[in-house]
Parts: sequence; structure tokens; C-alpha cells
Amino acid sequence: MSAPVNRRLALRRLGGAGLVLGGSGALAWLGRTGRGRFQPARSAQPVRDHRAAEEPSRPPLVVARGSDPAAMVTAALAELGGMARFVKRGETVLVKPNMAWDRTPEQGANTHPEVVAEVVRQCRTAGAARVIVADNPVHDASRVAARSGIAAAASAAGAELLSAAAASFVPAAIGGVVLASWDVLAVLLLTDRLINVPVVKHHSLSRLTCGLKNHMGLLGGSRGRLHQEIHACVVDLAAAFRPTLTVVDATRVMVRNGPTGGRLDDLKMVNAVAVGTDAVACEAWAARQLGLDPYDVPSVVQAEGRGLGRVAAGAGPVPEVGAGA
Amino acid sequence: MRKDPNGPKVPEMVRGGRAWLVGLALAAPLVLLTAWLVRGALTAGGVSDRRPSVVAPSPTLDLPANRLEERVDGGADALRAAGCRRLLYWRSEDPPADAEALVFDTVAHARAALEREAGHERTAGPGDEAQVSDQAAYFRRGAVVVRLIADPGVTGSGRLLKVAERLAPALPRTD
Amino acid sequence: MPELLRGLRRVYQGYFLLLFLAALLLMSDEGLRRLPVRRLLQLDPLSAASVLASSWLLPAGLAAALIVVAVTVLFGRAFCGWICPLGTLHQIASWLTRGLRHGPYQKANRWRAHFRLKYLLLLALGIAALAGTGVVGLLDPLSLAMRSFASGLLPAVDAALGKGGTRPRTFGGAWLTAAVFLGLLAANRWVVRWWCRALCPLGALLGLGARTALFRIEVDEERCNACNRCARDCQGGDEPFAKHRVSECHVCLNCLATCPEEAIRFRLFAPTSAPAGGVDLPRRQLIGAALAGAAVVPLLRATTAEASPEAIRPPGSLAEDAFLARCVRCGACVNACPTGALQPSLTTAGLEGLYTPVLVPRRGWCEPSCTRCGQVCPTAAIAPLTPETKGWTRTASTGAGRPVKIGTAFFDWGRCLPWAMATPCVVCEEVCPTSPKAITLEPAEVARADGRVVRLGRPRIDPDLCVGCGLCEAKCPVAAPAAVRVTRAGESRDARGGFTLGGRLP
Repeated sequence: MSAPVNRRLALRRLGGAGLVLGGSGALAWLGRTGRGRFQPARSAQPVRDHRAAEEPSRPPLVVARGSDPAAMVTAALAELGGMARFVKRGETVLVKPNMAWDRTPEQGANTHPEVVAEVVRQCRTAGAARVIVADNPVHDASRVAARSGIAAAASAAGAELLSAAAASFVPAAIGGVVLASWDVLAVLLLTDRLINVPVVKHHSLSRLTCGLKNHMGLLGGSRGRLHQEIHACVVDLAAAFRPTLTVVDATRVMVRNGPTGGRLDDLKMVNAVAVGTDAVACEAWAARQLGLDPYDVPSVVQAEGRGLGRVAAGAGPVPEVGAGA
Repeated sequence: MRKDPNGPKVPEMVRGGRAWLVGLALAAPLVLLTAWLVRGALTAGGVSDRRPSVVAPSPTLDLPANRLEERVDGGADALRAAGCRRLLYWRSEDPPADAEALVFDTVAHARAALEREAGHERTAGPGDEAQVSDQAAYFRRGAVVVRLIADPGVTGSGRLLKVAERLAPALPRTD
Repeated sequence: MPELLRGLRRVYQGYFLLLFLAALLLMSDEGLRRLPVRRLLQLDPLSAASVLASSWLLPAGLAAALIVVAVTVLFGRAFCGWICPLGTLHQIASWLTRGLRHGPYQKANRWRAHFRLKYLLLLALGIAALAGTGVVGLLDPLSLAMRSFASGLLPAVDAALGKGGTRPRTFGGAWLTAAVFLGLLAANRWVVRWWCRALCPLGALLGLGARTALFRIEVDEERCNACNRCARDCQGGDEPFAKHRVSECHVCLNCLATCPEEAIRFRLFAPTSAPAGGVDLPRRQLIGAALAGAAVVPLLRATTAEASPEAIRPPGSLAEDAFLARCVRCGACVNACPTGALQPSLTTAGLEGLYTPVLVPRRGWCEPSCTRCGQVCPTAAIAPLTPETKGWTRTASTGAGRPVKIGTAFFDWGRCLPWAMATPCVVCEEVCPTSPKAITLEPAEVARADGRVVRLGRPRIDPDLCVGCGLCEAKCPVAAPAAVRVTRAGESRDARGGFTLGGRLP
């Protein structure tokens, strides 16, 4: 004889079964409606135009000569209207030096630390809330920051140093002729102003590496590929990033074996700093420091062709100021 | 062996009609499963062929910015300067028409391009803004401008709009 | 009635075993059009749970596993006794070796403490799944059965029968795969259905679910005369003659038919309680299993920085981390691949990739219009493609969207006949399926050592056009290794977009 069904037992069993089935169903429903663990790639975001308002009364480019890098920066900026023309109170500024190589300042592969420091100081004086110095280096990030001297100088001047090793990269819309989108340092999409602070060097592929190529330091991913169409790519970057100001460090110019260099006799002491709102003019002037005809540098020609500036402003006579002894 | 005449009588629930019922209930899933499999096998394509099929036709041409010349010849430079990054082209047979989608880098550039192509007048139509006539339909969705030009002799904006609707899912998302 | 139930159970077992074998043997294009092969594997709740745990997603189709869950909460481990094809095979093996097991039934067929190992395995594998890997599939019975047949037993049969023509499908490690499978079958000689009782993690999962089973075995103590004959045919080792363990019972219902006193019944709300379910495990073993499972993934991930260049995945595969999470190592794709290009990885894809599919161009190539692997993958680790979305057979020269790229071919010019040996050969260019061809011939005139001047075409590759199909490597007359070899460089599923600027994402 079988025992009669115990109602409490039956309910307990039904409850348990319902729990298991319901729980499984709920998990299945979550799995059908969720986004999953492996997130799809984010869509590319646009980069803002960092340029300040045009001022026809001011020259597009000014060169300062002297022996004190900081004084040269100050003098050149003054001719352009001072940093206050470009950086408004409370803004965030991204200062982008060339800080890519495991080299000391004497070797001239990176931007002179005092040039960077002075730019930072001027931004802070103009009232910037945050000044960030960042680069995604070729060599190891922490060693480069230290050996280039930029980390110490910039921090002393009041900047935040962003280490690319810990930084995040997000896809940005480049919308260029070759590059549609690329991963960039996330900070680029958050900043109000972008100040490009390149150093002038010879480059075996692009002939000249200065402001246009300096933009590559904002990129992440497998950016070595850009060398496959280097001229068009750097112009794409310049057109997308549109810096507020270009500060060209021509204190020591690397005339051979760039961009890495190493030997001191690859350098020519030019002792000048150029500051300008016209990126193409700055680039053209930089080419002249290497003894190149700007029209022989394909990226410069293409940049002018795309309306990013005027070669003549940098190829011809340029306003100069002295910056002390 | 099954019946112990000295034991209590076994309740009759397990015999006779009840057994048939249980047997039927248990055999039913197999029968249904077999029927489903056979039906799938005979219709040959209904069951394992459910792919996320292309809702809209794939474009005949999909050109990046540096190859616009292949479709627009002399106008390529101007298009690039205007911010065009990509061009998609379809050929519609019913009604006979050419359909092009120009993908711009910003919405503002797309608006400007639409102005240049279609003027200032706007009519009801697909996308964010449109201008539809008998021979041609222009519309903008996000940063994509679509122009549909019917072959000479083809009339009826309604038919053009149908093409537009068919293409809409295939347009690149720009937001 | 007990005979009827047992008879029906045998019909079910035979039916699903036949279905399983049909699925294995009918993975041709015609077969896949007519038979929903994926669906059989998608019944598996362990696969579904593993994919859910590791990728937080449940691809469509795996919801079918809820049917098995429903069956389990109703009837207990009826899946094990009525449906599982591996279980049926093991039952047949046990039956064949029944004469070799001696001694009283209640001793030979008793529950043994080591049967609890399957719960520990389930715990360890489950935690590994949560950490993001699909290694559960290595011990999942349906995956084990499918891949053992696909890359072990069936090829062995083909080899024995001399089938396969000039290009038989061979599989690396086939001997190992088959040996493991047959070894597990051999264990039945000592313990009936030893795999199902001691190792099967799906059995463990369903056993846990069976604790809430509505229908269960009930032994009428008054009618039972302790003859122990129920122990003779019991499949689950759940000791109906002692304290019946619900989570071990396979619902084979043999005991119902065997009992001479008709003391055993299978009924709704039977009061047989679950705590006798045999899951009692000492806490330290549970913790140990959990820790082992948690340690597996970080240890594996610390070893491999990046997948090996030879680990070419089937077209339509997800990115590698998502792929390793979703692939349940079932080998269905390996079975379906018409050229034998897909191989179960032993070391190529690393330890974590054991038994995941990799494409080995020397064994076979990826047929341009074939999309079978994605059609059979139960978890959509390989997304189903159509010939249009795969894009290797486009007729228009500028097609829509980019074709799927699984790798790039690289020439080894030191081994290539036209480059190194002044000998004409155009095989790679001939077989390259893309339009336009990724391999082009550069005309050259070369003087041979004997003074003869030869006109030949030297092959060059355009990495942006190459899709990595492996036809060039497969057909290259130079062997061991071929003069052109495919690696996964530039694969389109890699978010970084490959090594050429032309390979960038739009």
C-alpha cells in the first residue's frame, strides 16, 4: 500500500521545482536580453576644434632667438598676444610635447623640458584649471618621462603628468583621407585646448618630423601602420586634432639620424623657438631649419592643400624677437 | 512470480487503461519530434536556414574617401573637401533608379551637402529631412545624405520612396 | 506497466542515439539543410549554463536546454537514463560486460563514495566558467561524445575501411581522443556506467536538480523482501535496495520491472527524501574544488600573452577571449568541415584552447563558399555566416562590406620554386579564390645553373586582399613546410584591424 500523498511535502516539492525551473528561466532571460561580458567596440567620437578665434592683426608665426628656452617661449607668446589669448580661465589644457624617446635633453630627441615647463607655466598663469602633459611614447613610458627631464620640469611648473602606460584609449573619428578612426588618448576628447610642442628633427621616412608628426603621440593601437602612408596620415591627424597653438622647439635641431638620434654631433644648435597659430607655417619654418625646401616635404604640401595653413607664412621672412642674451 | 497470493491485494491503478495512457503520453513526444524532423527535412531549408538575412540589398559599390573617383569622377575632390568619407551605391531595377548614400564626417557637413544638392525646400520624406519629387529624392539621416535619381521616363515619387525605405536599414549608422 | 516503461525508455535511448549518429554523419550541406544538427547539442543544460556564466549571454537556441531542466524537475535525471547518447553507449558497454562483474548484486552495483567526484568537478568547472573560460566542454558528455566520434572514432573507421580517397580527413591527436573515449567505455567492465556515476558534470548538475524532482522512486518497505534483485539492473548506482539516492537515479526504471514483489514504484510526490542524495561532501573538498576552479583561468591567462600565430580560427569566430568563453569544445565544426581543415587543437591554441577548433592549412583549406562550421556551432562561438557575408565568392569586384579574414598568407621565398629554384610554378596563384586575386605573379627571366633562361612568374601577395583561406598552402607542391604559409595575422575579428593600413576598420 502506498502512503497517501502528504500535502505539505507536495507543496514543498512543487515549490522547489518551481524555484529551479523559474531560476533557470530567469537566467536564460537575462542571458537573452543582456549585453554580455565582452563589450563590442565603442563607436568613434568626434574630436573638437581646439583653435582660438582668429586675430588678423597678429602674425601667424613668431620666432624667438636667445639662449634661455623659457625666455624665448615667453617672448614669442607675447608677440602673439600672450597665452591669455588662447587659454581662458578654468579651461583644461593638454600640452603635447615630444616625449617619446629614452634620451636625455642634451640628445635632442625629445622636446626641451624647459620649453614644456614654460608653456605649462604660461597656461597656469592664464588661469587654466588643469594643465595635462601627455604623450604615448615609443620607448618605455616611465623611463622616457624621467630621462627626458620633462616629468620633473612639468610637474614643478604645475602640470599633471599622464603616463600612457596607465591611460585609457578611446576610438576617435578622424574622418581623413586615409584614416577614418583611430584609438586616441581619452584625455584628448576631454580637453578644451591642445598645445602642440614638437621638436625639430630629421626623419628617414617623412623627411621632417615636427608638429604634424607629433600628433602621432596621441594615438594608441598599432600606429606603426601609419608609416605605410605617412604623409597623408599625419595630415589627417592634424586636420582632426586642430591644436590651439604650435610651439616649435628649435633649440637643438637633429639634422641626421632622426627621429631617435643619439649622438651629439647629429645636432645643430639653432637656439630658437617658434610659436604660431598656423600649423603649416610652423612646419614650413621647421623644414627650413633642417635646410629643406618646405615644398619638398610632402606632408607640408598636402597640409596646405587641405586648407590647414599657408606655407608661405613660414617659408618666407618671419617676425623675430630677441629673448635676451 | 508477480503475484503473491498471500500478500495484500495490489491496487489496480497500474494496470489496464492507465498503462495505455501513460504509454501514449510518453510516446507522444517522440512522435511529435519525428514529425517535426521529417517536416523540416522535406521542406529542406525551413529549419536550419534561419540566418539573420540581409534586410536591405548590399550596395554594389562601397568606396572609402580616397576612391570616390570611381563613382563621381571630377566631383571627388569637392566631395572630400565637403567632408564626405564614404560613398555607397545601389542600382535599383524596380523602379529603375540610381541610389547613392554619401557618408559625411559631421552632421553639419551633411546638412550643407543636402542644401547644395536639393536646395532649401523640404518635403515630407524619410530620414531627418527630405526633398522628394517625381524624378529625384534626397534625404538626410544623421550624417548620411541619400540621393535617389530615377532613370529618365520613370515617374512617381511614391515608387522612389519605396526604394528609399528598402535602403534605409542598410545605411551606416552615424550616431 | 513497469515493462512498458522500461520498454519505452529503451525506445527513447535508441531514438536519441540514432539521432546523435545521424547528426554526426549527416553534416553535409544537404544534411544541414534538412536536419537541425545544432539543436541536438543545444539541449545540453551544462553548455547553456557554461556559456551563460562565462559570457553573460545566452545565444538563441540554447534556451532549448530549459526543456531538459523541466524534464529534470519533473522526473529527475531522466535525461541520463532516456536521452543522453553517451549514457546509452555506456549502458550498452555495461550490458556487454555484465558477465565479467561478479559477486552479489548489492555489492557489485553499490554506490561508492568516489561517485561524488562529479560534483567537485562541476563546482571547479563552474567556477572556471564564471572566470570566463569554456573548459567545461572538455567533460560535457555531449561534447565529449561528439568530438570523440568526429576526430577520433569516425576517422579511424574511415582509415580502416580505406575511405577518403586521395585526401582522407585526418586529425591530430585522433589516437588520444579515441583512446580516452574507449578507456572511459572500458571502465564499465568494473562499474556499471562509471562515467555517468563518477565523472559526468552534466549528471552532477542534473543530479542537483533532481533533488526537487516531483516524480521519484519509492520503495514500499512492507512489500520489499530484501532479495536485492533491484540491484542487478540499476543504472545509476542509487541503491534502491538501501537508502535510495534521488540525485544518482537515472530513472531507468529497471528496478520497477525487476522487483518480484512489485514493491518499487515511480510516483508523484513520493516521500523519498533528497538528503540521501549522495551529495554529502566534506567542506574542505568543496573549498578545494572551488579554489582549483578559480585558479585555472588566471594561471592559464598568465601564460599566454597572445594566441599563437598558428591558431587560425574558423571564419565567423568571435574575438579570442569571447571565443574561448563560448566554445564548448564539442567538435561539431571539426566534424562538419568538408576538407578537414578544422582540427581539434592540442597545443596550438594553448592549454586553455585544448580541443577548440583551429584551421590547419596543410590538412585542408577553408572552402570559399562553405559556411558549415557556423551552422553547426551550438553556442554561436562561430557565428553563422552566409556566403555573402563571408564574402569570399563575390562576383562584383568592389563588394559590399569587407570579407571575413581569418589570416594572411606569407611567402617563404627561400622555398618557393620560382623564387629560389628558377622553376616555374603558378599553383598558389591559380587556386587563390579571391576576386581580384590576392596572389599576383611578377614576370621574371631567370638563368638556371645549366645556362637555360627560364621565363616564370614570381608570386607576391597583397595582404589586404588575402582572406587566409589556406588554399595556397594546402596546394603548394613544396611540403614540410610549404613555401607559402598562413598565419592568423590580420584576422578581421581582431579589433586592432591587422597590420596594414588598408586593413583598418571603416
